[in-house]
Formats: sequence, structure tokens, C-alpha cells
Amino acid sequence: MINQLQRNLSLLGLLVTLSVQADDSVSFNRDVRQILTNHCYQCHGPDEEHRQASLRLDEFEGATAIRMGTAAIVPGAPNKSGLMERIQSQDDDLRMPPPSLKKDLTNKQIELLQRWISQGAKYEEHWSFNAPLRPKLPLNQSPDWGNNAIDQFILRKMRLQGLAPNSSAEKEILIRRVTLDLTGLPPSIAEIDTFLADKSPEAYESLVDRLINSPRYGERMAVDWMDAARYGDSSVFHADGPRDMWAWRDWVIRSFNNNKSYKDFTIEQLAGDLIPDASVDQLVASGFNRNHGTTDEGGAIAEEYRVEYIVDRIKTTSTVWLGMTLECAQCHDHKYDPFSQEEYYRLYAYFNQASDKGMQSRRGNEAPIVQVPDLRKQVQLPSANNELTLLRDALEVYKSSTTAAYQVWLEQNTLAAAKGPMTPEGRYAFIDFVEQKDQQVSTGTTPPTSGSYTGNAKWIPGSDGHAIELDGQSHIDFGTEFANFEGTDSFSLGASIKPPKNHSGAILSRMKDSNSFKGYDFLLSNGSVEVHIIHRWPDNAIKVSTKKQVSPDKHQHIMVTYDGSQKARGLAIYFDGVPQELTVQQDSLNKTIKAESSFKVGKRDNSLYYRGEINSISIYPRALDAEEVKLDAGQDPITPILKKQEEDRSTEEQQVLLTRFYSQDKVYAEHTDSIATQQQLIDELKKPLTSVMVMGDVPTMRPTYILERGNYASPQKDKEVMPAIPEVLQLGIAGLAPNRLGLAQWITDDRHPLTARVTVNRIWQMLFGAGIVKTTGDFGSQGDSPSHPELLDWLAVEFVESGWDLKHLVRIMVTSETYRQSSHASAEVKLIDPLNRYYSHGPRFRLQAEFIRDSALAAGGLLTNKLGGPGVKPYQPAGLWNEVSLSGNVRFTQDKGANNYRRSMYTYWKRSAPAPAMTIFDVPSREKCVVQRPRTNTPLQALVTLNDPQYLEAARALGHRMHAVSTEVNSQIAYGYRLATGRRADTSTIALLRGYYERELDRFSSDQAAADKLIQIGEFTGDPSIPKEIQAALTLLSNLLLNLDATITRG
Amino acid sequence: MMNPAKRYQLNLTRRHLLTNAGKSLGAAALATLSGSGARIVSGADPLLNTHYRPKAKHVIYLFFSGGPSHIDMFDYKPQMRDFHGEELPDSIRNGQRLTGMTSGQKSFPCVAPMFNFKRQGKHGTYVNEILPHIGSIADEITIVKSIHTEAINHDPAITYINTGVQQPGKPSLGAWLSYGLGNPNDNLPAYVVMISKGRGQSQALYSRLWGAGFLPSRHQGVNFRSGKDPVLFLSNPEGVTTSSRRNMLDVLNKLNSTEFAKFGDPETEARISQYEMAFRMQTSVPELMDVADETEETLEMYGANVRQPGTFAHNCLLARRMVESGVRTIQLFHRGWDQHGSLPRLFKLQCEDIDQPAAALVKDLKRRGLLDETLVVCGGEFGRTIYSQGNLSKDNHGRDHHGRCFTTWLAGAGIRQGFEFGKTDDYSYNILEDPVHIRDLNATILHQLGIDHNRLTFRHQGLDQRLTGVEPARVVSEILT
Repeated sequence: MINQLQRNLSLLGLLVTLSVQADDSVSFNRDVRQILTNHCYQCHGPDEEHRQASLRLDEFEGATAIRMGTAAIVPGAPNKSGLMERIQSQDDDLRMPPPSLKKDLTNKQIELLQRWISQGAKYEEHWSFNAPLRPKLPLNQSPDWGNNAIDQFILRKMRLQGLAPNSSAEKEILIRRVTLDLTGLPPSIAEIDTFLADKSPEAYESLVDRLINSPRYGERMAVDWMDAARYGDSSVFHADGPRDMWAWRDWVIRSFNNNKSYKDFTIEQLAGDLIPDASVDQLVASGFNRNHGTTDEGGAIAEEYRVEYIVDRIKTTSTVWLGMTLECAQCHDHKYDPFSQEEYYRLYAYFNQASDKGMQSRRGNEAPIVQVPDLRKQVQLPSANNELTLLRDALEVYKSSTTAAYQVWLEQNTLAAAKGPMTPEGRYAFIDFVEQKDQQVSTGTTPPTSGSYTGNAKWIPGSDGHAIELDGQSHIDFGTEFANFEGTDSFSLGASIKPPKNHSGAILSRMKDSNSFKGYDFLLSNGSVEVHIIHRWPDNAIKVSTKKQVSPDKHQHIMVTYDGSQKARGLAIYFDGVPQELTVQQDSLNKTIKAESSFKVGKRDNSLYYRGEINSISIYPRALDAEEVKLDAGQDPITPILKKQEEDRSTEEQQVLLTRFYSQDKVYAEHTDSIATQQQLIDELKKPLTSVMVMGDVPTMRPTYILERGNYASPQKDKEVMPAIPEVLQLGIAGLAPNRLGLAQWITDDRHPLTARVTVNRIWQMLFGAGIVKTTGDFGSQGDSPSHPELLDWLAVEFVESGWDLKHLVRIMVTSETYRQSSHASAEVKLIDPLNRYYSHGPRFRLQAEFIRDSALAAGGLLTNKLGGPGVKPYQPAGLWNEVSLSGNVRFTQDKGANNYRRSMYTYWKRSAPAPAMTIFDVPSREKCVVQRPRTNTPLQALVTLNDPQYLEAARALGHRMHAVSTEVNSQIAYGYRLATGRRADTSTIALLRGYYERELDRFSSDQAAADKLIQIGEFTGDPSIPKEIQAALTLLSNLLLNLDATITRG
Repeated sequence: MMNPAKRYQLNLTRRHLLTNAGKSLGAAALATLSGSGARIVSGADPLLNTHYRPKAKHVIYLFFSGGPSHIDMFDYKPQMRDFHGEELPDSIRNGQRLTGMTSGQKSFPCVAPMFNFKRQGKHGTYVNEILPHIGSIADEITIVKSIHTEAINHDPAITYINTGVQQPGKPSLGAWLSYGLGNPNDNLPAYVVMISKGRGQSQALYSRLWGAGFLPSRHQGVNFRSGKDPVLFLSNPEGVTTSSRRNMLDVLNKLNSTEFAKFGDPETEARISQYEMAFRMQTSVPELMDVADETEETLEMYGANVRQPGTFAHNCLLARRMVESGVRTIQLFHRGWDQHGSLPRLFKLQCEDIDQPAAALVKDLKRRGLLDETLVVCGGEFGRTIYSQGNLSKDNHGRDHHGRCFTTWLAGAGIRQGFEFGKTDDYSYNILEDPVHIRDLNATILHQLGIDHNRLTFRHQGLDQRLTGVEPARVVSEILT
């Protein structure tokens, strides 16, 4: 106690001394740059177009140039410098910055500028544009503190501030901290106990090894990457419809877990599609730059959005990898950093080649896409293929056993062939339209009947000597008894016709319009063939149509076959014997189709008159197979062959005969059926798991023009630019391709000054709560300077030299003593280091949204460990989607079962209305790239963890776990507390919780109805043998535990 | 001696302010930035340190989503009867870009409003006869007929007017107000949003329209919904009483206080007070939403729909109650204003739903003496074209989106009464006088709350970001008293 006090007193003493001894030398980067950028560069900076009085103050040359006899800055002579005169002028018309800009300088700033000029006005290049060099480690630091280089840099700075390192965090706090940081999940009690029991010096290192190699590590790393990559399950703009990008997320998780080098991780995401012979995985990776929002708005102008997508890609790429706000140069030269508008459009030119369109879909993925194979199914392919070979062999064996039977068949049929072409057996009717008297038309049935026509039918020769031509006002009625099929009957309807172009008219029908169109028809609709089989239109009916149209003004044979299954798939339509692709528009028949109607040719019941030629109509009371349809179409394939001598038949012709022979062989059919089934299985196994939108460039390079004021509609055609790297960041890499792959290689070049620094800073932010550069997305002159520049550089160099090894980077950070310090901070320490910028104590902060929910699910033992896959829809209040969705017609349907307990990172992310329990805890909407989440503390957060059914269900489950562990209430409480916080509760804590529990138990004992309601929240099926009042009281106790600061904070 | 945690908090706040907030907004922004913000300023006037002396303490923004037709509401063109059915002259359209929905149209026949205009109030302001109640407050309001925007489609336009840019990612007007002025209220959020359905085609809304963008998410609008939980997760679970919850929070607070003693993390202390505010909200919100204490006479003012929670009328009444309870920003989104077709029928239905309640809100505020301190703004993301979208028939037509001019009306808190501002051409297509960009409108709203739009800034991605962006914007002083 005395020691602590003494330490604190001496700290205060040091602080005083330090401020007295303050160094009066001025550093451009530390002291001056911010003043100039904030107050001067807007008009006197790099932006040429808006530069006033041709004066630029962002470089020594411009600032010291003599202009009209004087210079803005005369090094060493503030009193001769025009700048000093103007900033101190009392005259509003002269004073700089102009009072109208409201950017007045403070006296302190003026004094700094004066000192800087008198010290020679030395300009320094912005720190982040110089490649980092590995700094020397500070020497002779402390014999008993410090585990690696990080600690040495931290300690030096701490000492300068009069601070000293904190003691290490207690082990149970430390394991919870590092487990949450590296996996996003709390440690289990067994894991805590193992760690506590491990007294070896390597205990902590082996813990870190275990965590970093856990598959949960990849998930944890992916959470922050999803923010940066603006990942979503919906398209953002206008309708914000669904899309499937989750396979990209799976790739990210896998890559982190496999510790793919950050270099490859980057190149594949920025340009995976351009890598020669890109693998599916590399294509999937390039989906990174398809995660942005896309529009489907009817009135949108496609080019406007195509440009927006490119702008977004530049912004995202530059924020994530370069930590630069390049987007500022879209409309004009960057006002603070050395990027001209022209350079912006040179970068733009890399992305301007993307082939995806401005106007995209509100229903799923838009090209270019890649199909992602289902790896789990693909492993079954070899054995499935094997099985197929066996089946084929068996067929061959069977075929060779039928040689004799074939010879017999051949002889019989050769005899039959001599008598003329064949027709399929069992024909019910054949209407040949041979002219008859009294408006009669023969049906060709046995016994013969006939129909009568109304109107002006014209008898013509047609294709075979006799046909009828209908004029669109005539039809033939065959009466009510004719072709009276039921929906469960099989039948076939054939017609030889010559219709006009795009015609709509019924060839034949048996339908009753006034009885909900009961019956069937066979008609042309805009040239396509359409068939209805109807009990009641439209809810009990089949409707199919052909995708292709019939050929206009040509004789052809159309046939419909139906197997009586009452299903659309039981229908087939043939044009001249060729089966057609069908569109199914209704498929809901299950009742009778028989109605009081007559069979008509040339119209439906009261409408749809057919116009054109009909040569014949054939009707069969069974479904013909494809071979038989050909026969009906007059394409008797075998008769001409059989008429030839055996030795004159070609191999193809022999094959035709064999096919015909086997078409009537049931055993053969069994063989071919099993082959077909096996083939289907193989096709199924080959089916892609999902698709992902990927990057793809247009085949010929699209010219890039500078857009005036960044406006898509104002390309300056005289200012065409080619892809190129901004000058200030050129690394002299030879032979970079002028495409995204070249860009990605530049970004990941070992000498790049920004990429490694920006990356190590982001990882540092993840582990320490804030970056060494606080402005994670801005390493430009408007961004914050690094609190520990040498440490940042050391880490960056270490990262690059390790081969861009992320796990190595994470490991050195979490094994530093800096990271392992206790987060306790005395009031005195906090006075000196209120924001912990000197790392005088361990970082302590609220868990991010996902980990709060995941921790509650883990404490309740509900969490599902499934890795990857599509988004899930756990508990969410009703109505949130349709309240805001386009026309109110997009509804959220909650998942059941295990999907309610997936890790929160898999929660379906609809970006116009994201899950509230997540956004309330600061998850960004992910409409745009975010590399730094705010961390707020609000009443709405309290309401979520107190009242959201998801948390109450977790509390119920946690209550059950507590009950199962012991019969003794205090032990139950101690166990629950530990599950929630990872720590052991002290006796006073247990006593407080016990008191609360007893009060609730009393209440629920006398109010069983209340208990009953509480313990029914959520799908979790509790143990009914536990008395309700105990379940309920334990639920509330758990609810309290899940709301503790100690639970939702990582200490 | 000052409690170290308090001192730490002040320290933290001060640092944050130096980098992020306008200098003169000190005390107000302090209220927002410290963890237990609301309590620090309670009792004090939170607006004392604004840039200007504020005229308004509250804003009610009646936002009509979809693009209401200014031509059929306020921008009266008697000459239009003569042009009806005639082609829009090229000299008027002047190469203006059209949406993809009408850019392929071969003919652009002008359509006169289907309904008549009537002179209202002592200034004889023209208001369409389908808005009789709004007509009756013509002497209270300023009608600005020259608002304009560059956006011509819903998503970019509604994002633009609400957040200052056409792309997502920026804070909404209400979030900026919460950030700049803090929450004057101990029991309710600073920024409340309510949504009602219309009877026409509903365009989508997005949470970004009331989102906090890059500001801390506590500044985002809280969507108050009709039904059991006006605020998400507000109610205690079934089987938990208020006293039981109180009991839980007492124990929770004790344990969290111990935690604070152990680690000294000011966020822990802040958390305790956030849980307390949540508890208070559980009482204050249902009280606010329960209109049983309203008189029959008041209810009748707002019209029959007021008795139906979730309607625009009901939300208008709630907006007044929120003003009384000290909520700073209340934004009502009323949907269904996208009349590409069937305008005569659907537009009339839309107007029926909003006319009486919107007017009643102004009257009700006035008679309670609240209009002086409440700024009421009413408008949409753009207007509609003078020409017909699709065929023009005797009793049917549609209108496409039009951003070159549209109408918004304002009332209360320093807004001129019975005033019209801005003039459009005979086709209500182009502005002839006094253009007011949507940035100017937003600057004016901030101004009435005492804020200089140039100085309410937040450093993000290298730029001192502001609601009005980098293009010049001006306060429309002509419409102010």
C-alpha cells in the first residue's frame, strides 16, 4: 500500500518536471503539419485548381519562393515572412485564414509557427510515405519486465511520461482476455482450470498456440474483415434484395485459419480473377470487391452506378490497405495529401475495367459469378463413377445375351416392313380431314363416328393430299362422348399443322369455360404450344408451355403426351418428334377434369379460334414414348432400314434397329434406368454448392477519362488516363501489369510504406482497443500521428520479414507483457494516461456485439460450433423488414433449431434493416467499408441483454446448467458466475446473488403462473422435473449474470 | 477533491472535444460525449452554449417518402389549364436528365392538377382543395417552393436529404443534432423515428436514414413502433414485474460498483447509469405512448385515424407528446408518395391521410405554447414532373420524379408566418427565383437549433465532416423572423 502511494507520488513529481523541461524545438511532422493542413492547405495546398494567389505552403520550395519581392516564409526570419504578418494582421481583409472560413489560428499555433520558421522552417516528408526501417531496440530497459521488442518500445515511452508497467493480470482474467481476443468466445471452465494448473513458464505461450490454431480464430478474424470488406447478404440500394456471398466469407475464415500469407490474402482478394489459371478459390476471393452495394432501382441511370461501384472499390481498397483517403481526390486534387485528381483517375482506370453492370439484380447474384463446388459431395464422386462403370458393364453383358431374340425380332419386322410404314399401337382416333359431305368430318375411330363443322372450313390438299384450312371463325365439334379423358388417364394428342406466325389459337380442346375452365386443351399461344389440364383455374390445374415457338407457315407435327400423373412433369411436348423444353406455370392438379363439354377442333370452348391448316389429328389413350411419337409423326425410322439388305445397313442404321428392339425390352429398360439414376446422382454430386459474384474485366480495355467534379456524366474526353500508381507511392517496381493484378502486387510489395503499417495497426487496434495510429483508416496528414512510431515501424518490418505472417504478428502482440498487464489503473495513473495511450495498464473494453451474444450462448451451453455457411436468421422482433421494405413485401422468417445458436457473425445481414440486437452494439450496417467501430454504452444495449428472447433463452439454459452442477445453491451460483465471467465469485458476491435468488424463488413459489411464463421463452426445452419456481428464479439469476459488467467486458 | 473518475471523464471529454467538436459547442457536446451524459446536464439549459441563440428546442420532421407532387399540393400554376395535354417545351426541359422510367417516353404531355386550388388565410395563399386543413394553417407556415436536389431516384435522393450525401455512410440530420446538442432528456432518446404506411406504392426506407453513420451509434434515431414494444426489447419478459426488475438492477448495480472499485474503468460507472436510464424508459416510454389521457377534443382535432396506433395521425399526436416530454428530434416517415401512375386516385388518398393530422399538430403545438420552440418541417425527397408518366387520359395519369424544384413547408420556432418563398416557372419545372438547395434547408434547420452548419463537424477519414458537406450551403434567412 505504501509502495503504491510512493509510486504514485513519484509519478506526479515526474510529470511536473517533464512539463518544465519541455523541449522547445519544433518538429514539422509533430507540431506544424496539422496546423498547416487544417488552416492553410485548403487554399494553399496540393490542390492546384483551388489554389489561391498561386501560393502553396505544402512544400518548402513554394513557401519560400520570392513573390512580388517577398516570401511567405523566410527561413530563420519570422519577422520577414509574409505568412507571419498575414496571420497576425488585425485587418479582417488581410488576416489569414480569412475570417469567413472560420478557421482562425490560436495564439499558441501562431507561436509554434513563429518558432518553426525561426528554427529554419524545415519541412519533413509525411512520415507514412517513407518505407519503415527496423528501428534499433531501446537498450537497458528493465531486467525484470518485458518479453519482446514491443515491451521495450512501450517501456521507454512509459518512462518518459513517468509511468511504470503494471503488474500482470490475474491468470483467470488473462485467459479470458486472450481467448476472447483470439477466438471471440469465452474460455470454458475446463480450459481455465487447465491454465490455472499449468505452472510451467510456457503456460501462456502454449495457451496462445492452442487458441491461434483453433478454427474459431479464423472466425474471429473474419468478423473485423467483414466490416472492412462491407460484407452483406443483401444488395443495399433500393430493394436491398438477397445475394449469396457467404462462400467468400468461408474463404476468408479458411484463409485466416490456414494462415495464408497476408500478401496472397490481399492479391487474391484484389485480383484473384486475374491470376493466370485462377483456381475456384482465387476467383471466390476476388468477391471482396463485389461486396459493395448495387442498385436495381427502375429509374436509376446505369452509368451513374457503375461509376459509384468503382468509387466504392477505390475507397475500400485505399482505406483497408493504404490507410489513405483517396476518395477526396475524386472531384478535385486532394487538399491535404499529395494525390492529384489525375492520379485518382489513374487508380480508377484499374477498376474501370470491371465488367459487372451498373444496373444489377434484386434477386440474387449478378454476373460475373463463379460456381462453387460442394467439396463434401465431391469426395463421393469417385465411388459414384465407379458404380456407373459397373452398371454399364452389366448392360453390355445383358445385351450380348439377347442376340438370338434380336434375330427373331429382325425377321418378323422385316416381313412387316414390306407392308408399309408403322404407326404406334392402340390409336384411339385418327382424323385425316378427307373431305366429306354435309359439313361432316370423320374421326377414324372404331366404330366410326364423325364431327360437324361450323363456319367456312376449306378443304385443301395440305401436305398429304387432304387437309382442312380454318379461317379463325370456324371449328369442328366432335360431341361430348369423344376423347373424354380424366386427369388420371394417360393420353397423347398429335396434330399435323401449318400455322401462321405468332399465332394464338386452340388446335383442339375439351373444356368448359364457365366451369372454371374444367377440361383440357392443346393450343398455340403467341406461337408457343400451351397445354392446360384443369380442374379449377388457376388453383387446381396444370399449365405448361414450350420455350420455343413452332415454325410458322411450315407443315409440322406437334404432339403432347401425358402420363396421368396429375403433375406437370408427366407432360411432354414434341415438335416433329423432338422433345421440347417446357415452362411450368401451374402444377397443382388433384381433382377431376371431366366437365359437360364437347371435343372441339379449331377453338376452345368459346374463344381462341385457330387459323391455318390442319392435316391430321391423332389421339392415343396412353402416353407414347419418344420413339412412338416419331412413328406418329411419320418418321418411321426402321421400315426403310428393314427394306435394305442386311449387308447394306450402316452402323448407325443397325443401331437404330437395336434401339427399336430394346425399346420393348423390360429388362433392358431396368438396366438403362439404373444407369440413368446413377448418372443423376453423379450430376447431383457435381452440382455447385452456391455461387459467388466475382471480379472480371472487360475483354478490351475501357478508356478512362477524368470526370469533371467526379461527375459520371462529365468525362473530360481530352483527358484520357492510363492505369498508374500515384507518384508519391511509386516504388520503382519494374514490369507491373497495368491491371488489378499489378495494382495488388504493388500494394503487397515488401517495400510498400503503407500496407504493412496499416495492417499491423489494425491488428493492434483489435487487441489493444485502439490503434498506434488512432485513425485506423487515415494515415495521411489529416490523420493522427502514431503514438509509438518506432514500435509501429518495428512491427511493420517484422510482419513483412516474417512473410506477411498474420499469426506470427498476433502472437508477438499477445505474448508481450504490455498486453498481459492488469487493466486496473489507479486514479493517479489515469491522470497521466487517461486514454491509455502509453499502455500503462492493460486494455479493458466492452466486448463487440457478436462476442456478447456468443458469450451468452456459450454460457448457456447453446452455441452451435458449425463453421461457415450461409447466413442464419435467429430471433428478431417481428415486422422489422416489411415496415421498411419496398412495397412492404419482404418479410423476415425466423429459423428454427440450431440456426438460432450459430455464432453471431453468421446472422443474416440485410443491410437496409440489419439485426437490431447487433447494431445497437455498434455493428456497422456494412453498406460501406468500416475499419474502426465505435464503442458506445447506451440504455438500448441494456434492454437487449435484459429482455431480448435470445438472451432470456440463454439465461434459461444457463440456469439449467447451474442446477445440474450441484444441489447446493451457493455452488450453483458460483458455477454460473464463473460460466458468465470466467472468474471465481467471492463470498460477498455469492451472498448478494443468493439473496436475489431467494427473493425471486419466494415470489415464483407464490406465483407459479409468472414462473410458467418466464420459463417458456425461447425454443430451449428445459427439464420439466425441475420445479418451475426454481427454473424461473435461476433464469432471472442467470439473466443478471449475463448483464454483469464483468460478463460483457473483457478485462 | 473531485472524484478521480469524474475528473478522468472530464479529461476524456475535453480531449475528444478538442479534436472533434466545434469549440463553442462545449457544454452541449460534453453532455453527449461523457458516458452518463444525460445526467450531467439535467437541470441546466443544454442549449446555452450553442453557436447562436437557438429559436428551436425541438424539430418535428414530417417526411413524406416517395416524392409528393408539389404541383398538386402547393405550387399553383393557373396557366397550366391552357397547357394541359400539350408537350413540355424543350426550352423548359432544357436537356434535364430523366429517370430510366420516362427517358424512353416519346411524348411528354403536361398535366394540370386534377383538383382545384383555393386561396387560404389572410394572404390568400394557394393550397390545393384536397388539403383543406393544411390550407387552414396557411397563415402559420412558410411554404418554400424552390427546394432542389440533384438526385432523381429514391434511394440516392432520400439518403441525400437525410444525410447530406447520396451514398450511405454519413450521419443523419437527427444524429448530428444529438451529437451536437446532446440529449436534454433523462428518460427518452434524443432522436425518435416513427414510420407509417401510406396507401400508394411504398418505396423502401433504410436504417441509414436515421443512422449515426460514422458518429457513435448512440446518436442514431430510435424507431418507436406501434404495439407492445414501442422501443425494441423495452418490456420486461413475461413473469417479471417492475419491482422484480428493480431488485435485479439493485444487485447488478452493487456488483458493477464493486467491479468499478476493482478496475476503475469509467465505462463501468457509465454502464450503471445506462441501465438506470433503461429502467426509467420502461416507464416513460409506455406513458408517452399511452394517449388515454388526451381529451376527446384533442383527439378529434387529429381526425379519426388518431385512434389507430401506427397511423400518421397517431404518430403526429405522439410527436406532440414527445415534444412535451423533451425529445429533441422527432421524425415521422409517411410512406406511399410515389405516384408514377393512378395519381388522381392514390394521391388524394395520401393527402386525406396526412392533411388533418399535420395541420392539427401545428395547431395543437401552438395552443399549448410549444410552437415557438418547435420547428416543424414537412416535405419529401423530391417533387414530381409536370408531364405525365405513361398515357394521359381523362381521369388518369402519373408523374415521374422531379428534383429541379419541389415544395417543403416549415412552421414554428422563428419561421415566418403566412409566407411563401421561391418561384418556379410556369411549368413548375425550373426555379426562377430564390433557389433553396436541400443543403440550405438542412443548414437552416441546424441554424434554428442554434448551430452553425459549418462548425458542427466530426473528423472522419481525414476530413472535418459536416451535414452540409463540402459544397457551399446557406441559411435561408429570408424565411426567418
